[in-house]
Order: sequence, then C-alpha cells, then structure tokens
Amino acid sequence: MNNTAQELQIACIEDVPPLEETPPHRPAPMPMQTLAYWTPRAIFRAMLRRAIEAVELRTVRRAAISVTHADEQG
Amino acid sequence: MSRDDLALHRWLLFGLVVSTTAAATTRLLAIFRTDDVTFLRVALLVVFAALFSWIAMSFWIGCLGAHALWRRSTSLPLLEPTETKGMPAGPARTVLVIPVHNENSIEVFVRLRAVWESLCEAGAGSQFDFFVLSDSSEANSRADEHREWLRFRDEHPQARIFYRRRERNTGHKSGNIADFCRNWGALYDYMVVLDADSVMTGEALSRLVRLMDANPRTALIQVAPLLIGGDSFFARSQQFASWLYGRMYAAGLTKLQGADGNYWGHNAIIRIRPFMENCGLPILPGRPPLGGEIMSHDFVEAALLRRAGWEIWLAADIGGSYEASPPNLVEHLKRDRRWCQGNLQHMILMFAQKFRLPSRLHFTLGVMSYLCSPLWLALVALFIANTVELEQRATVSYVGRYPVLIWPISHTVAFVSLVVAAIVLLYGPKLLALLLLLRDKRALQNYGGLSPALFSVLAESILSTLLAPIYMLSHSWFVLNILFGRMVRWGAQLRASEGIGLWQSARAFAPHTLIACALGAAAWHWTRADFWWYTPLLVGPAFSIPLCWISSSSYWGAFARRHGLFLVRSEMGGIPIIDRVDDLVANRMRLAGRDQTAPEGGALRAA
Repeated sequence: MNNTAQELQIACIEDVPPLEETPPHRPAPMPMQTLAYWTPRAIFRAMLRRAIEAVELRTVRRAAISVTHADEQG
Repeated sequence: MSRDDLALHRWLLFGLVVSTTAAATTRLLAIFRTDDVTFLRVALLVVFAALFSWIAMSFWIGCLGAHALWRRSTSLPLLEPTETKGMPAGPARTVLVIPVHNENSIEVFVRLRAVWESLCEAGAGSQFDFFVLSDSSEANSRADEHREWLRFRDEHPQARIFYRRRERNTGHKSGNIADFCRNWGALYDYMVVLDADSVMTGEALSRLVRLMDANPRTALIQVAPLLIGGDSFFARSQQFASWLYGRMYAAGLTKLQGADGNYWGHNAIIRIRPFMENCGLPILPGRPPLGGEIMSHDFVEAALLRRAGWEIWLAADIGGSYEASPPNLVEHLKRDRRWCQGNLQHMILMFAQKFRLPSRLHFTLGVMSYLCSPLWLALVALFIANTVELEQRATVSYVGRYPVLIWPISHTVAFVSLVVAAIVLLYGPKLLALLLLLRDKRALQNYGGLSPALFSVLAESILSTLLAPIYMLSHSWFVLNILFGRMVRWGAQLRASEGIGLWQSARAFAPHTLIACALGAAAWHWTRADFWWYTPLLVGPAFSIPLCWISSSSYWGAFARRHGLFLVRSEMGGIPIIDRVDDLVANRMRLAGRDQTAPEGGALRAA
C-alpha cells in the first residue's frame, strides 16, 4: 500500500475497513485457560480422593513370591 | 540469592510481621482487659490486627529493601553470559507492543521515537520491531495515530514500526495483546509491553533480551518503572516518592519474591511462546463487576505462567524504565477506581486450584490494597463507638444500697505507644530511604542536595498524610459500589498535566468535606476529650477541595521546582532518553502551534 492510498484511507477513516500495515499474519493458537475453584464440594472430593488413596496404600495384598532355594543347596 | 536465602527472607518477614502485630494487638488487648470484653472490642481488635499487620508488612519489606540497597546486593540471580555484557542483544527477535486507546498520539509516538533512537545507540535497533496496537474508538484519535505513524516511518525508514487497529476493543488491553499474539506472536521470541506513557532505554531493553536468552526457564522479567514528566504539585510529589522510596520497596520485593515475581502490566519483557500457551485469560464465574472478563489481567497472567512452572522475576537493579503519573488527584482516583474493580475480581482467584502460594499472596495483597480502606474506616467507627460507650458509662455503681465509685483508668500512655508504633511503621521507611540517600553524595545531588531532599521528604510526608484519609474514603466508596454491582468502564486515562478548576474539585470532593465535617462535629459533641486524636484523619478530607485544586496546579508544581522541592534526577537532566523526549515534545508542540490552522489536524488541535 503506497502512501497515497494510506492518506486516502485516513481522509475517510470511518468508511473504510481498518488500515493495516503489518507483517504477514502467522496465526497461532492462544487457548483459553480453565480454572477450577476450591468450592466446598471440590474440597470434599479432594479429601475423599486422598482418603481412598491412603486406604489403598495400607491394604495388604496376598502376593506369591517364588523362592529358588538356591542358597540351601550349597 | 539461593533457595535457602529466599526461604530465610520469607520466614524472616513472616516472623517480623507476626511478632510486630502480636505485640501491638496484645498491648491493645491489655487496655481492653481492664474493662469488659464486649463484641465491639473483639471486632475492634480483629480489625486493628488486620490493619497493623498490613502496615507492618509494608515497613518490613521497606527495611529488607533498605538492607539490600545498603549492602548493594540487589542484582538478580539470573545468568548473564559475561562475554555479552554491554553488547547488543543477540539474534532473538523482539517486538515492542504498545496498546493504545484514545491516547495523545503525538506523545505516544514521540516516546517511541526516543526509544527507537536509544535502541539504535545501543546497537540493537535492527533486533526490535514496534507494533502500535490501536483500540481507539474516537475518529480524531485514529486519524492522529495514522498520521503520527506515517510521520515516524517517513523520518525513520529503517525502523520496523507497524500499526494495527481493531474495530472493537474486545477484552480491553489484554484482549488487544492476545489479538496481536494470535496473529503475529509466532514471528517473535520476546515481547516487551509498553504503556502509552512508558519509556525504556535501549540499554535496558538489550539487557532484558540478553537475560532472557541466558535463562530459558524465565518467562517474564518485570522492570520497576520510575515516574517522570509530572508538572503539577501532586504529580511531582508522586514522582519524588517513586524515585526515593520506590527502588527500596522494589529491592525488598525482589529479595522476597525470587522467581515467584509478579507482572505489573507494562515495562516487562515476556517470552511469547509460554505466554501464548498459558495466558489465554479465562472468564470468571458470575456477573460483572466481580465476574466476567478479567480486568486486571497482569496478576493473573503471572499466576498462570507460574502455574505452568515458568519463572518470573522483578528486576530491581535494571534502570532505564519510566512511566508518567496521573496529573492530579481526580485522575489518580479514577485510575484507582478501575484498579479497585480489577483487583477485587481477584478475590475468587485466591481460591482457584493449582495456583502457587506466592501467586495467591499477590492476589491477596492486591485485594487488600483496596479492602484496607473500608477496614480503616471501620476501625475509626469502632474506636468512636467504643469511646462513646465509655463516656456514657455511669461513674457510680451500687452494691446493694451503697454507692461504689468507679475509678477510671487512664490508657493514654498505652494508646500513645500504639500511635507511636504506627507512626514508626508508616514513616520509618521514608527515613530509611533518606538515610540511604545521605550515604551516596552523588545521588543526593540528583535530589537537589541535602536541604532540598530533607524538605521534600517532609513535604511529601505531610501531603501523603493529608491524602491518606481522602484515599480511604474514596476507596471505601469504590469497594461498596463494586460489591453492590456497579461497574466502571475501562476508558482512556488522562495523562496530560491539566489543572483542575475549583468547581470541578468541589464537585469531586464535596462528599469528603461533608463527611469530615460531620465526623468532626460528632467527635466534638460525643468525645470532646478525644477530639484531637481524630484531627489527623479529618484535616485532609475537610480541606480536600482546596487541596485537590492547588495540588493539581502546574503553577504550584513549577513554584515547588524553583524552590528545590520534589526534585528528581529526571528533572535535573542527565538522563538522555528523558531529555530527548522533552526536546521532541517541545519541537512537536512548536510545530503543532505553527500548523494549528490545518483543518485536518486532530492531534495538532489536541496539542
């Protein structure tokens, strides 16, 4: 766009699309962030989840462990 | 500054604030314990403790900053490759974005021109692009912007300066910058956000780029701006406070924040990729003014970057960063009204998940900076109510038929000690800043010498004491309005030094005067013995109309300057970029005066 064209746009600025004199666009996303809040319900859920995790950690599970008895032979 | 140092500073501040507040509150509790403990007194104690902790924190941050400045240990723990020190910035592409909204275009482009020239002097002109992002809605402003942009391009054909205009200012300033990022952000590595009244030197900008290059985990470096360009008495006093006390608080904050810094919305360099990935602002739940679009975007963007693990630093040791201050009290309060609305929106963000604790503290401090005003008002009201209750108490009680005299116990000494403690907390940092200045003879000359500096600190202290209760009443009104759902538009800010007429001042501050007179009359009527205790609170609002009128005047600003009051380095000369801005503005105004007859000259008419 030459200077004359720009001057023309300025002269009748309200009747023309916005003047842009910029490098070529390189569109890239800027995603909207999501936020979760500490509501009473969220606090209760978090506590429940922690409690379940703690119980799971304490659970004793039967485990089958193979023993070779290699040390007894010698 | 190691991680251990940071933890030490934070725990030290916490301990000092808690112990100072506990000492003062127990003193007040001891006074009340001799009388009955009523709901009124418990409320008074709670409000007192909250406010005392607020001023104690400010005091101890100032002390920490003074200590850092005294030991000259304000440098950031960021890597800066030694081989590039003092050299131009590296190959990274950096863009300076300047969002504008119906601003004075002459001044905007004059400042940009000074920044461009300074960049060229630093040998870094070719690494920086300029984007003027216009959201202006007024036809005159738009035409002026175009004209000034064309003029800039014609005069500096080697400068890569671009101009983009939006029809709608969706999302206000943050929406404007987000629009830029979505369209052109991918072209650049870093972005420096400048306000319409901001100026940064080429040296500071180059150093910021080098720091970003050397520290790939850093997403944002904020440079504390100093106030410049004030003509009125009010603006010059603000300017003086910013120059003398601002650097001390900035140094203190740097010691406390570490990589958990904050963003102040401008005069900062930002790494664009993490900014785009993490700073698309969410919409807050609820309706405006507390819900909806986020107004004070900067704190939130900083919190989002920290949430994603990026570092944010406040650079107290990088100079060359300036901005203009509001020219008068009315404009200052208008800006506060917008900021108050924006900061109160952050109340809900204090309870958002996954934010780091320091980010929550930034939100809390921002909210408290306005909520402390209604709390202070409540404290005054509670003290008056308490005094009235004590005055009305019968001096004689009966045990059966026998009268028993109640001996009143004087608490004057205890109250005076609390008042003295509060005075030390409020004015102590000013004295510390003065002591630091006295230590540096060269710096002292920048403030006009010993006597002008002393008188300036005294005058600024008196003025800020008079203004504080005015702010308290105004901020309380703002908070009340916002809580009742009244919102304010995010309009353009008046930056030119325009005086305020007596009538305009009277319209703005008649409520303050009436409230002060009514409170004074009530105090005189109900608690005459304690009346004088309330005078420091009442004098400012009672005389707010003449105070605003006189302090807005450029005549009194110039008068103060002639007599060496509120002198700062930018006024003494010797800062090339500011001198250059002044020269360019003077030249453009002269031209504007000559071209005033030109029919199409919107900017010129404005000038």
